[in-house]
Amino acid sequence: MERVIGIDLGTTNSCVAVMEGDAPVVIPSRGGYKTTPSIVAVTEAGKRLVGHIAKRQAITNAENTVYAAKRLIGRKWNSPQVKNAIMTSSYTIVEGPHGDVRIKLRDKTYSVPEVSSIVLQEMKIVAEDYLGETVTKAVVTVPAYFNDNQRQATKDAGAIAGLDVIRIINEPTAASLAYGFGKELDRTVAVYDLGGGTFDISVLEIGAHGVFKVISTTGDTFLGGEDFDARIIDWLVESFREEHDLDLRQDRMALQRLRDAAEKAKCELSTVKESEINLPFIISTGRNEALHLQRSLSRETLEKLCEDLVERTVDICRQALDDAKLDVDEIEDVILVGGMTRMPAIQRAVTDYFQREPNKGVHPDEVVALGAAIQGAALVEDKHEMILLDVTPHALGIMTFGSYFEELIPQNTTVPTSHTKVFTTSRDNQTAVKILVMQGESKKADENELLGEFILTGLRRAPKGHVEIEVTFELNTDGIVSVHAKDLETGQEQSIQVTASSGLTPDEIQSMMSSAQDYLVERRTDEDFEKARQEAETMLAEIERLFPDVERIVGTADFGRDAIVKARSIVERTQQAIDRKDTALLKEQIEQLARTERMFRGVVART
Amino acid sequence: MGQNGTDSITPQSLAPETDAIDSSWDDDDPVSGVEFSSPEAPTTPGVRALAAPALPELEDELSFEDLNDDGDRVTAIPDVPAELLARELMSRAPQSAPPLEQTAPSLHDRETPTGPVAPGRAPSLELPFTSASTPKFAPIDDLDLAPPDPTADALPLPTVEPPPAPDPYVEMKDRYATGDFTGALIVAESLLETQPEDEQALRYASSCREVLTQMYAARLGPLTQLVTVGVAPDQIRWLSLDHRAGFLLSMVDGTSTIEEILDISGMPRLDALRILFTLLEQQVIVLAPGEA
Repeated sequence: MERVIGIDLGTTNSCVAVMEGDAPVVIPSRGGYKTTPSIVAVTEAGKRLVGHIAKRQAITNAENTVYAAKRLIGRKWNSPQVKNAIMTSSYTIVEGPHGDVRIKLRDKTYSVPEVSSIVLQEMKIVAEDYLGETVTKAVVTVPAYFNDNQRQATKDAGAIAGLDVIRIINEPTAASLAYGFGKELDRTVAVYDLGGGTFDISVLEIGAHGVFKVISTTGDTFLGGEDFDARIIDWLVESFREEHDLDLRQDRMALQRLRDAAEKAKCELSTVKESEINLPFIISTGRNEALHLQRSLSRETLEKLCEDLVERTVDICRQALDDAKLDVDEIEDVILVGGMTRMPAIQRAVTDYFQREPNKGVHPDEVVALGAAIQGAALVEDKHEMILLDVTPHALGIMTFGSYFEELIPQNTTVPTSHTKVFTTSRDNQTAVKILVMQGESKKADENELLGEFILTGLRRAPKGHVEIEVTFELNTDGIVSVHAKDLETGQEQSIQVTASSGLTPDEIQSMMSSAQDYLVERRTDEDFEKARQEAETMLAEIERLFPDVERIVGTADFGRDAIVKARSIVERTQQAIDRKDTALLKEQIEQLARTERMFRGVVART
Repeated sequence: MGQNGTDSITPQSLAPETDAIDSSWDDDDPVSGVEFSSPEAPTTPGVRALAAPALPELEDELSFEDLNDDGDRVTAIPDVPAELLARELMSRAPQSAPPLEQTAPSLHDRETPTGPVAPGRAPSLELPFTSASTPKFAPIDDLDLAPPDPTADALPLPTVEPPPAPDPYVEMKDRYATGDFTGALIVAESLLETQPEDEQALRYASSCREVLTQMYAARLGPLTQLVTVGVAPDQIRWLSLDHRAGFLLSMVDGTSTIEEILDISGMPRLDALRILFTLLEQQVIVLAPGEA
């Protein structure tokens, strides 16, 4: 049976997991990392960088490094979140051909799903390297607040990366699934998720038989570990300015080093009370001498620097409980998600607010991916008791008189579903009504997402409230919403079908898939060549080492001279294969090299 | 052929007025087919020397005499700051650039240079920035600093015409032809400072960068090698480095390859290679074979 991987596609970091036997495990990358920064960059030479390597050049190549693409995925160009991102991002965001968002890197423009697909493809490669088999199916997690367009865009990103995303699940749900794995739980939990760039708090009800209901979810998409790092950077820059009257922010190289050092110190301070920050030759002065930065940062100082950030998360928790209409004492457990939750100040704040110690049984960096892997395995193995019900992430409804939102399908309704409501006209002699189909939880229509609109005409002229219009919402398992409006008296009918869209056409997705596939083939070929090259070079070095001895021993005999000429020719052909990057020829030469090496060793050993 | 792939030193882009760029800039490089290095005695740290036969395409061009000619080797940057030198040359340059010469500098040209050479400039076996044996240059205006002779009024010396100012274009070509790509690049860049669209200078600059990039890459060896710091952390601050070298050194984590460091440095490839090579020479970094 084909394995399904679980991917936590995070704003800042991503993680991939798989079921091994009965337990989910996180798959480490070749470098041994269990998470990969969700960062993509293109170098001056046009080379694509993903993950840690992209992160390490994020400041020195800021214009061509995309981070936090998740904040843009599935968004429309004119949305406030995109406007905000344009103001704050170091990379160039441009309008796409379908009112969607595109990102410019060097001389190429990428759609947001395409950028996310690069991260997903990296996770796929990590999994394939680990499993030694091709992986084509995945369960991917998204924030609980993602709307249908954002979920569809995430699915499209998977498709571009060569992954069939068999299910999209909510991050807090995945975390709860991993938390409750192997246990029969029936309780209300809070999932406190403080990642690198975002903060989410969700309240869930975990019921028997795989019912995970998100009661409320809220957060701040611009609050995360990076803000904590920024406070340390500010502290370092300020103290350096006081000492040397130089602004380290003016130098990109210095800033890149500061950022790396700040993150490292922050992580260290979760386990030790003091961290040394040592950055020699951080900047050169006008007198052409390089200055060093050396500071000691204590946990106490860090906590003071970030006090307000921690407090902000607590305020948001308060909001989440208000939304869920629950008191703190009704929360039976708190699950911590995200690397930042290792910070002692965060753990203290959570304990103080929820009046209980947070659960320590799950790994904050891995829990979401583990939950996704559990769900992936349950789906292919048909373990019904563990399969999450597919529910609507947000309520669906229409806009009514006064710009209010009238809900027809509530949030968390299991699909497929159908709901009907009867409305009346709002003006005298009204002959037409405009039906605006919306998604969201706000009572105010303009705070929700507009999915589509249509007009029902030919209504009977009558005083307001006398004409009845029946509106029916149908939601099928593919997430397609059909809305019908019918004049109950005349039978006049109008309808619209709304399909979630990432902003990409099927042709565009197909073309991007093909480019991604080409890239993968090229990368695999390069890896293949690199392996062969190293093998060949090891043998070449050995042959060269033995050459003088062999020449001395057999060089005077005719057969010996022939053998040496032949060996030289093999060495030359191997070098040519390396220079031409000809993997096939190189592999052929490796066999010949091995024979030559054996022969040389034999000659030398006999003397 | 050298294991370090130095056979491809000929720039891929159009070389200025040359049929081929001589690869023998690398005096230690065995690719020339004559100065075979013994594998037991690698000439450059991190570069394995291979006693390889001459490249077929070079055999036609090179002879024993050619290889003994120092003129085709890389010269050091003179201690007189080359930029100053170039600026000096620029200030004396004619307003309009001479037309592009069609004759390509050849091996023969190197033996009998046609254009004026910078005062005191001598070919050296050293690479740039290994200044220990770099020939010292007197500043161009040193003679003006001599105290005035009190007897000058009484016995006026005959007026001596100063030597004609060297043309920077000639200087650039000359340096290029003699294999002083660093010097040629500095002159080309100085020309570009005042005339950014100067096609000839652009071509020379691009070609020099390409050759120098390949040269440093070859000196470092396979770019898949892992880079580690060869100095104790508490000793690093006592090294003589600038902030760019400090930055590159901060990228060295023991798991990144040369290629990865080049990718993430955000510096022009040539600059990064040059700094890495300097760090390697100073044994601040150590190279080890990488894993595929």
